[in-house]
Amino acid sequence: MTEGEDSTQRTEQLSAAKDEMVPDSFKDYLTSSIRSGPSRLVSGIRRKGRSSGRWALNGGKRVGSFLKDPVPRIKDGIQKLRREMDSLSWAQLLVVIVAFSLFLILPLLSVVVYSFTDPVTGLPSFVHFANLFSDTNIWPWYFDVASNRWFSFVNLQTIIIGSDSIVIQGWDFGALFNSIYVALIVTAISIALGVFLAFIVARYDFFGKRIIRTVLIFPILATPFVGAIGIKSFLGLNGFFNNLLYDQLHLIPVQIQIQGLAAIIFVQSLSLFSLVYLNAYSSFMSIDPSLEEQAENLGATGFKLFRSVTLPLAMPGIQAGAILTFILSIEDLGTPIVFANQQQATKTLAYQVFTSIATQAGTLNPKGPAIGIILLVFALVGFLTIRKYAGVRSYESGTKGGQWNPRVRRLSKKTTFLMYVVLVPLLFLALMPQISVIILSFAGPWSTNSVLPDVWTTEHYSVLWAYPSVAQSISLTFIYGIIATIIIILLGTSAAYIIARRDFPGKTAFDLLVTSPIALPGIVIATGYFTLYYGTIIFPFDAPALLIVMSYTIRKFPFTVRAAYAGLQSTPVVLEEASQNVGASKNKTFASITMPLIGVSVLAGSLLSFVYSVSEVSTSLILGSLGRDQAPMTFWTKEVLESHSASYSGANSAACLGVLMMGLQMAVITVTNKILGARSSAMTGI
Amino acid sequence: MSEFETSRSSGTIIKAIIVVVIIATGTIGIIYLGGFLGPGPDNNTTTTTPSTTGKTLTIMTRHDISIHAVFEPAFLASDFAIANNITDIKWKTPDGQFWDSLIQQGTIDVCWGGGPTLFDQLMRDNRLEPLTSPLMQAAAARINNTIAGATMKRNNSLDQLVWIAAAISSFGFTINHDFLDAYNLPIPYKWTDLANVTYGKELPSVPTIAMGNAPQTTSNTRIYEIIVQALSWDQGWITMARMAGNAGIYPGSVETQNAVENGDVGIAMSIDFYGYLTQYRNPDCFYIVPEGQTIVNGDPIAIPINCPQRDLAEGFVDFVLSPEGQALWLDSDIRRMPVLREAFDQPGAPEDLYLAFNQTVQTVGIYFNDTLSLETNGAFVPYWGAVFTEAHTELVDCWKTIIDAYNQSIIDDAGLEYYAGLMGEPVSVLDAKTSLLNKFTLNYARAINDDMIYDASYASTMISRWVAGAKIQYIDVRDLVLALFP
Repeated sequence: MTEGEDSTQRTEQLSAAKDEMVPDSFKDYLTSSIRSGPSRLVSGIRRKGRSSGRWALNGGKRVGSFLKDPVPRIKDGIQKLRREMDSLSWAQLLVVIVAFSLFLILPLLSVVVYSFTDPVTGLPSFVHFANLFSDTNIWPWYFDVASNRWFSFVNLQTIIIGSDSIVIQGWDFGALFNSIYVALIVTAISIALGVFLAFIVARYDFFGKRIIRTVLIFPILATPFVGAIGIKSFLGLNGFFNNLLYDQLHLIPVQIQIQGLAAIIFVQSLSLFSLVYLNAYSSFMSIDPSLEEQAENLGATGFKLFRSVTLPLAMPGIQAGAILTFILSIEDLGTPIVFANQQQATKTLAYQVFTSIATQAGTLNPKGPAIGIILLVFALVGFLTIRKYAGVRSYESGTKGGQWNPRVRRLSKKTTFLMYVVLVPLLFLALMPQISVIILSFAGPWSTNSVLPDVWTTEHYSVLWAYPSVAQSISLTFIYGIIATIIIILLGTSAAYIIARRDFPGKTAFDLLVTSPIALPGIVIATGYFTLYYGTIIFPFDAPALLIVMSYTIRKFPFTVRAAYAGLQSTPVVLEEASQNVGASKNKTFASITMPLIGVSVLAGSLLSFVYSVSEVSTSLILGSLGRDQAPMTFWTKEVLESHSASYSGANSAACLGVLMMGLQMAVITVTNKILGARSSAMTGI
Repeated sequence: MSEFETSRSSGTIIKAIIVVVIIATGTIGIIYLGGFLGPGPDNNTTTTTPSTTGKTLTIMTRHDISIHAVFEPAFLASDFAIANNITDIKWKTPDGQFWDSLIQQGTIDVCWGGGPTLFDQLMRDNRLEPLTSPLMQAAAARINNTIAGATMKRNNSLDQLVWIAAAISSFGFTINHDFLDAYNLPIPYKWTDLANVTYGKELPSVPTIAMGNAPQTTSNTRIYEIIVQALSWDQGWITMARMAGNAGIYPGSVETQNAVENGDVGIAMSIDFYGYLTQYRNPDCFYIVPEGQTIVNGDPIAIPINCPQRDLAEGFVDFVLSPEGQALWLDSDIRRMPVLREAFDQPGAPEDLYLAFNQTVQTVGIYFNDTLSLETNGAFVPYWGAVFTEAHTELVDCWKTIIDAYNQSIIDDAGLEYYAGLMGEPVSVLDAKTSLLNKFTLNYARAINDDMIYDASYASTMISRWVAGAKIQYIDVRDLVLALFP
């Protein structure tokens, strides 16, 4: 590093340190923020821009110097690898890479190769990517050659007023920008909600806390297809809210409809905040109480204590939650499909992949995977940005955390009441999909303008007796989910350990690889599985079980990796070093010191992996349709939903499967908590 | 970390990983070797006891589980199945795009259900075996050549029979009385009624019709093709533009049906059995058969090329087309329309369905030219998606402006027809291969049909151009009408 660079960096560190100086009270903080806001924004952007520029420049330089003289660099790399990696790390790395190669990289390549090929010459090319810019729904600026005019299809109208209804929609900048801004807003709202709730539950005692802690996990319980119908039965023109508030109680003068991208933001925020909540909660609980006590002894209380000590120490968990939220928002296909009847909701990258991949002749349309690649790049850039921002500090708590002796204060009755005034409506909105699925499963005939069904019945549940395959899929789904989760825990912890504790060339690439599966449109991977493996030992005719399990494993892997990584970030490496100093082998240290210390985080992640595994859609549908004996519940939910059967069809019978799926997810969470006792209460509080 | 001595032994962790991976693989192995899961699905009757020596028939279908659950035990109990030791049926239900590969791999015995469009495409791509054997000819002879104007059998270019209809369905629309009353809208009785300005009076906040996106629903596509064939090409597209302007475009036929059932719209395109189901589930809903414009479809059964058990496959087709097999459609859980009148001679046949069957058979439906459909379908479907679904915001904006001008008497009836004509007229764009400006005429659709099907890049470029062309056309017409406002 040159002297000039050195001094610039020092200045930046100083200014960053100045930013970190925290005012005494919330009032001071607010005043100082408002006063210095603009200048801080400018300097922040300048600093970030400069550091990103330098980062890119250094990257370029590194690549350049590598190409100039590759041999010594490779030698260095190998030496570094030898130094860093022991047999355990090698084994961990190899197993992860082999699994990912077979069940992610190869299937993916078999599909996206067409997106990088010129259809005329057959040579490698970016022509399919360039063509995306002439699709006006992806890139809304268009030059019409015939009339020699520029057109902009950007739409900034957010409120449409009708005779008896108001439509709220989002801005439309074309799928490319829509996906980004939606994901950013969803992530911001999820962080705000998730951190707020996690802090309250972690640090305060109040009436009904046990119930609230349990209910806060419910939004992650997913019920594909029927959850979507449920959301509409609440938010639609003749949905629950309009029927209750407009038709019955006449409390609102017009019917309100949330549509397009606004609806996507609304629905995603209200389900994804749970991810931030879960991760932030385990972080808050693992903070060493003595650190906060020291800060208090030094005079920091209230907001200052929260902002300068508590929040920074909880950053790894919040970061993990934010990364998952951002990626899942960009990748989410379910929500756009629910609202696809209004065109704006279809202008997201995930939906565009879905409509562009299949062609009539059964061949692949290279456009779909090309959009998928762009989606992946966006998601991973978001991931790297969040990781870079939150990864510069040290979070090691110094001891094994605070779940054994949490700092909890009791809320006054008035505050508790105020909190419930906010919390109850929020939780009701967040639980719309789950509540409506339960209602649907017991609903008989339901008139258009009635708030609740005209008749209640349990007869829809007879679908379970009518079709043995449907009933059997419940136990199968459970088995698939459990096996996948066990493999995920083993491989995921290994991957996180290597990323957090080893420094080897290509580490960032490895980190990207193990995080990418949730950012890849499932339909692309599922198509890859079919084209590559159908009729082979991996996917014999009629027997997709192995591939279903491996698809769950790979696709839901990142939940555990990110959580375990957050756990490792909060755990001081000196504890592992101490263990080795007193004679424990590396393997013993990993098993007896590292694993127990990050256990809570791994558990949080693996439960998410399980919950999202059993509700996995894309590969389940395609693989299930080819081997129905082994198809999981999501396949049968869709099958029953679309069945023409006079007795067991439609949303009601499918909702019964949804209810059972939620039950399965909840049962696993509860049983795990019971088995692990106090340790896991730090994670979920059940 | 390097200052610590590195442990060279593989250690307990690696062993643990290996042990768990072996257990996991073993468990999965047991699962898919069949030992754990038992013999197979839907063996929900006492009549079937699959044995290891019995034969299995593999059927690829778009029919759902309710139909499998009725036909499988009945067929396995038939004399033919017993005589030939057929003890199990494997059902495969992949999306249409996987059908070609599965047939090519030679593991499929019978293809059944999914509508004539899908089977015509299989025929076009030479995926169907001619049904020339005496058994198949005899089975075909039992079925009428046409019902209500719709073909029940299809011959390939060599004039060999390749598919036979095994059931019929008709198309109409489901209405939601409550919705129509709330917005003071009339009940429609014809397809063309849906293009009226009345149904656009709540635009853009409340569309009143639900239409399925053509690329995602073959049943709705058939309705659109018939409208174009019945009204002439240009007029058909103009009418559909007005309908689509009044409508919300839903991804598939199930979503379309749900929209009317939930009261999000007042009218939805429907296949008959979905319509009757909705009628049952929401008492405000009612299924309407359009006056003199009924559309009937035969739902095919066929034997694919590379069929591994041809004799057994023919036995199944023969069974489905027999009076006993046809009577299974009348099962209380299925309630679909058989293709053979003799099905109603079986004991216990429901009378209401017999009445509906007779009405359908006697209906003079719209004449439908299947050959023309096959020649243009590859271009028709993506064009529909491009100009209506993908340019829907601009379409609604334009149509709403025309309706406003009409309602405020700025334009009269002739003006309405004129501007609606400009809006819905097929779009002209540069062809991606010839770079010539081409309007989407019938002949052009025919000419590019194959390229649209087999050249994904060409199709993708054309779709982008149609979308942009349509958006510009809608914006230009809207601006023309806006200029008339004082």
